Formats: sequence, C-alpha cells, structure tokens
Amino acid sequence: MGGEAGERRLGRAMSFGIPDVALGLVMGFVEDPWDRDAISLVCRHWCRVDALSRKHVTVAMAYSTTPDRLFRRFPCLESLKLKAKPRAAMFNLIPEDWGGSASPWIRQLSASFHFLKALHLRRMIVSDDDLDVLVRAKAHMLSSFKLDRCSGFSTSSLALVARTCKKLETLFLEDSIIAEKENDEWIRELATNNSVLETLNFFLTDLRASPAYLTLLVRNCRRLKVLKISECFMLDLVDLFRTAEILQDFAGGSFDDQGQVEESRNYENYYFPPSLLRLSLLYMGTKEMQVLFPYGAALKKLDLQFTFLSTEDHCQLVQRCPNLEILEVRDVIGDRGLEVVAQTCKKLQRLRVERGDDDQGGLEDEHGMVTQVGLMAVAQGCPHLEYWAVHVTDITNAALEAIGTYSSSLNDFRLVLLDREANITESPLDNGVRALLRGCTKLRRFAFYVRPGALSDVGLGYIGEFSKTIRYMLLGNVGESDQGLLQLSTGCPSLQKLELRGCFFSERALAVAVLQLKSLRYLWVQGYKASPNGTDLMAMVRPFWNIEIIAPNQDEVCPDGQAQILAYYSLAGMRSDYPHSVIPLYPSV
Amino acid sequence: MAGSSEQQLVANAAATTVAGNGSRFAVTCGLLRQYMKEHSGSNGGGGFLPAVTAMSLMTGGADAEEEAPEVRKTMELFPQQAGTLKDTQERKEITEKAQLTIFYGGSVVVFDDFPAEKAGELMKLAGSRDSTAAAAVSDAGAAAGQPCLPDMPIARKVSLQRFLEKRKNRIVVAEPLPESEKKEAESSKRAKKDDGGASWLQVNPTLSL
Repeated sequence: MGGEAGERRLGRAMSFGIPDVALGLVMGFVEDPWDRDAISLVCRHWCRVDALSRKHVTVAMAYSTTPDRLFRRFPCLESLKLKAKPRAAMFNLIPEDWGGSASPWIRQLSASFHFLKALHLRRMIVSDDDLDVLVRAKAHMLSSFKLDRCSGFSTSSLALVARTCKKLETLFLEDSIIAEKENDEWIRELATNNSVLETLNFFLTDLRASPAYLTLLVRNCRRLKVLKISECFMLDLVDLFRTAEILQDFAGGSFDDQGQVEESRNYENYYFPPSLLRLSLLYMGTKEMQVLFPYGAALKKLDLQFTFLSTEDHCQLVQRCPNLEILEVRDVIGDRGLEVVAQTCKKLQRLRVERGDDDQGGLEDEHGMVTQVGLMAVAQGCPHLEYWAVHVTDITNAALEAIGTYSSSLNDFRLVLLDREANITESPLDNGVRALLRGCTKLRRFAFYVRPGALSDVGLGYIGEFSKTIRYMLLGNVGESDQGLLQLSTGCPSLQKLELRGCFFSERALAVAVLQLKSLRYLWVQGYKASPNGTDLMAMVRPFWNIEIIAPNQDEVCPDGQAQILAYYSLAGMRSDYPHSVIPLYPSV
Repeated sequence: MAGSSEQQLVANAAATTVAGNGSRFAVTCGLLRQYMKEHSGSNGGGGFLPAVTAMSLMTGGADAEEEAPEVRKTMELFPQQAGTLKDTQERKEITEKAQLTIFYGGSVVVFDDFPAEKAGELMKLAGSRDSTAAAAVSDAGAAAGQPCLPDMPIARKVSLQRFLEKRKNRIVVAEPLPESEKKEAESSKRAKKDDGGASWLQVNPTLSL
C-alpha cells in the first residue's frame, strides 16, 4: 500500500466512498455490538445505517435510557434484552419495591417496534396487565419470550401467552416468582396451541406442573429440545422421557417425593432420551445417581448444585463424564472432587463451584472444602476453561499464579473466599492476583471477594495495571485505604461496571475513582465510609450521572442492612418511580 | 475473621437515641469522625459542614417547593446527621448517654450508655499509644460488652438459599438416623483408607482429621 498517503485515501474512501447498498451489506455481517458501536461513531451517515440495520440491543440498565429514545434510534429492532434491578437483587440485597417495572417499556414496545420477535426481560417487575398489552400487540410476532428472574405476574397470563403466541419457540421463566403457582393450565394451553416450541424453561420456580400435561406438551411439540421444569417426581416423568426423543437438555424433576415411601422408589433402568446432553437434577442422592452412569459419556453439561451428593459421590459421577463442557456444583465436591474433574474433564469450558451449606449440622460432607489444592489441579488439568466461578475456603498466591499460567482461555473468573476458617494460609494475595491477571489476557469479567487484609492497596494497584480488557469487576473486602482504590482507578481502561462490597473506602475516594475510570458507566457499592450528610459523594456529580442511595431498612433485623450506592449513566434523567428506601442524591443537571 | 495486621483501636460515642442500629460500620465511622472533629477541632473553625450546606448543594437550581420532600429524604438517610444538631446544649445532652463501639485487632465490642467523659479518657489513652493500657481495655470490653457479628456476611444466591433450606428440612424429616449412620460409616471408611485401618481411628473418627 502507498504508505501514509494511501492510508489517508483509504480513510476517505471508507467514510464517504462506499455506496449505501454495499455499506448495508457489509453491516449485515457485523454482529458484535462493540464493533457496531464503533462503526456508529464514524460519521452520522454510518450511525444511521447502523441504527436502521441493528437487529439486537441489550440495555444493561433499563433506567439508562427511555423506551422512546431507543425506538427513535433503532426502529427496526428484532430482539431486545432489558435488565433493571442491580445484580445484588439475586442475593436479596435490594428492597422488593426498588423499581424496575417493565410497564413503560412494554407499552412502547407494543405500540412501536414493528419487527420485534424476541424479548428478554431480566430482574424486572412484569404485571399481568403488561403481559396483556404485549400479547395483544405482539402475539403474532413473538418467537422468543424470556422472563428471567422477574416477578409480578401470574400463571393466568402465562396461559394467555401460551394460547395466543403460536409462533413461540422459546418460553423462559427461570427463577421467576409467579403467582397462582398451583394452576398449570398454561402448560396444557401451550401443548394444544403451539407446535413449534423448542425451549421451555421454568426451572427454579415454584410452579406446579402435572406430568400428564408435560407429556402432552412433549408429544405435541415435536421440536422441543430444551425442557427445564420445576420440582416434579422423576418416576412420574417416565412417559415423558420415552416420548421426548430429541430432548437434549433437561433440568428439574425431583428424586425426592415426600409423599412416597422410600421403598417404592425404584430407579433401576430409568430411561433418558438418547439425545440427552445436558442435565440438572433436583434432590438426587447417592442411590439415584447411578441412573446417570450409562449416560455419563454423552453428557456435556451436568448441574449438581441442587443434589444431596457427597464428595465421594461427586468423584464417582464425574469420573464417568469425560466429555463435560459445563459443570456446576456446590463446594461439597471438595478438592478431591476437583482433582477428579481435572483428570477426567479435559474439555471443560465452564465450571461453577457454589457455596454449600455451612451450618454446623454436619449436613454437608466434611471433606467438602475447596482450597488452593483443588484450584491448582483444575488449572493444570482443564486448559479450555473460559468461565470459572469458585467459592474457596483457603487460597494461596501459588494457586492464583497457576491459574495465570495454565488458564489463559479464561474470560470470566470469579473467586469468593468464604469465612469458614479463621485464617488462610497466605495473605496478602497481591502477587497471585498480579500473576493471574497477567496470564489471563482474555479476561472480561473478574470478581475477587476475599476478606480484610487478603488484598492490600498494592494488590489493588496491580488490578488497575493489569486489567486492560476487564469490563466488569466485583471486589469484596479488598484494600487497606483509599489509596488502593485511587491506584486502581488510574488503570482499568475498559472497566464499565464496578461493584464494591465491604471495602470501606471513603465517599471522596469513591467519587474520585468514578471520575478517573474513563469507561465506567455503572457503580454499585455496599459498605463504605459515609461522610456526614453524604457531601463527599457530591464530588462525583456530573451531567447524566444518576446517583441513588438505597437506605437500609430500619425495621429489618437483618445485619447486612447497610446503605448502598447505585450510580449509572442515564440519558433518561432521574427516574420518578423510586420508593422511600431509594434516595436520589441530586436532581439531574 | 482474619485480624488485620495493624492493631487499631477506634472508640466512638454515638447517640443511642438516634442511631438505633449503632453497629453499622458506616454510621459508626461517620459518628466517630464527627466526634473527633468536635473534640480536636477546638483550636479553629475546622468543624464539619453543617447540614444546611449539604441541602443547598443537593437542591441545585430546581424549584424549591418541589425539592423540599427530597431534601427531607436525603436527610433521613444519614442518621449521623442527627448528631449534627446546631444546638450544642442539645448535643451535649445526647452524648451524655451514648453507645461506645470499639474495633480492636479485628474484633468489635459495643457498650451501651457509656459516659462521654470516660470515652474522652479512653481516646486520650488510645492516642498515647500505650499498648498495655489499650489491651486491658479490650479485655474488659470482651467480658462486659455484647460482641457484634461481622458487619457484612457474604450474601448467598437466593435460588441456592431456597434449595438449601428445603434440603435441610427433607434430610431432617425423612431420615435422621440413616443419615447419621451413613456419615459414621463413611468417616470410618475414610479413616481406614487414610491410615491403613488403625483401630483407634475407627473409635474416634474425628481424629482422622
């Protein structure tokens, strides 16, 4: 190419010389929203072409814009994902009345967005009226509808959706709180009105589901590949599994029916469809576990979070599943179980080790502890890990270094150090964190929730320095002083969303950090040094930056009732639907 | 809790009447700072900002009538501001009956109705960095006060919490005996495996750990 002059010519051509048709065609191949964002900033014309051809948008914070503004920019959207309540809501830290109503969105979506086919609402409040409005306008269009950790609606609305949305291929209700849970007519409606359904998910809900309706559904919806249900006795699902020949993904059921005498439970020769790849079974115990053995080699995903299995059971089962790509467990798996994972599951991409029961009742296996030993084994044994969330009882720098050395494919790493043991082997973990961040260059998300003293200000400085690509970060009980946060905030060039808990940074330091982190657009903090009257927080006031304080509930006995700060960029101005517990800190500039 | 390497002694007097939940760390810190400023800042006008300043900042240029309720809300949030009463007499009355919270070597103790002058003495003592005196105070506190739990327990995902509760109920209801028998059998089995079946280990399985 012609050096500098050539580049200039190319730049000019790219901006102005490409005909609209060609530009539109090229845009069709650009799907990554980050690339799209960059393209839309080239010039007004490109912005328009992008706006008219953008098919999907995720609004990570529903209050950051308005439905009308979204429609004006992207009138041809086919798919929309909206999230409202802070992530902390999944941990019971956000007041029930915080906000997050879907009403304004659903009204606008229904009146406009003529091409909308897929809607995903996460952590929002969706009323029966909302669903009624949506169905009236979009029933003939909707092919995917996800109410993901939502609340506020009932099964009668689900029946309406099932009856009218005949093109629905995906209906997702996982972990939602749904009223009139005993009424399962909606499943019958779905079975009799829909023949194109591919995914039905009401896992982790309290909904009743009669085996007869579920079997009818599987019989009528011949494309059903994913079925995730609530608790339903496994022996009543025998017919369903015999019918569901192409089922690939099953979650729910229950091996434990309180009405049944134990002797009457016979799982010998229990049958699963031959196509089954992904499984999540509820209340499975040692005896029932054996029904999985013949299917182990085929399984790509196994979720054992909601089972009764001991450490030894985990070892036995995992040994038979060499092709696992996703494994989800509680920490009862122990270091021994993780060593088996490391030896067996060479294709593992996602691993979640949740925190188990730590009551003193001795319910969990006493060997169920995950420490540096298990982490090092997995790091060395599973080179393809991309997602790894783990709750540990102990941790060392060497273990973190091993992750940095061996787990270079990680794009999401989350570590929580539990408070079961009074002391951990090594502290601070500064050098380990540095090695991990240096090695895992693909990290996009990073959570490090430890205990006071386990990460010093120096360590926070390392995080700032070596987290070039990290967009989301959760830090708990880290740092010694404001200096650490300030040091961190001089780096982290890509950090968009930051969550801090129990760090006791001062308001002033938080404010300065927010101003320094150039990509930051969302901040959540619980546990900080409040200044008298919150005046120090005012230092972060600037246009379009909404600051809200979530006051602790004074009547609550719960000990973690501490004030929270939520701050985010918004083009919508201050929201008007906040309850008494939410105090907006300043009127919009 | 891991004790922080630095020993710290922080004492503060909080008005029990206003800060109902005095164990909250943030609130306590705010109170502490305010208390320190009041008592050390007698040399000049280095006191904290009066509440009025903050209010005017928050209202901005907006319509005063509309903003009024918001101002009140903002004030409710920070209970420590109740201690910023402009009337020193009133303040004195409150601090006479006050709560004392001590953070020391990673543990926390709280005393109700701690006399203000004693608190002053205590802080002087702490300021003098006389380690033996400080330790003595801490011991006394552990004996007399009610220790507080750590401020912020690690939160658990709601879906998992629900499961663990159900699981607990089912295990207890369904098979209390077999469960314990199983445990015993398992641990003795492990003991055998680990230590070549030494008989004394089977008698007391806890020793195997």
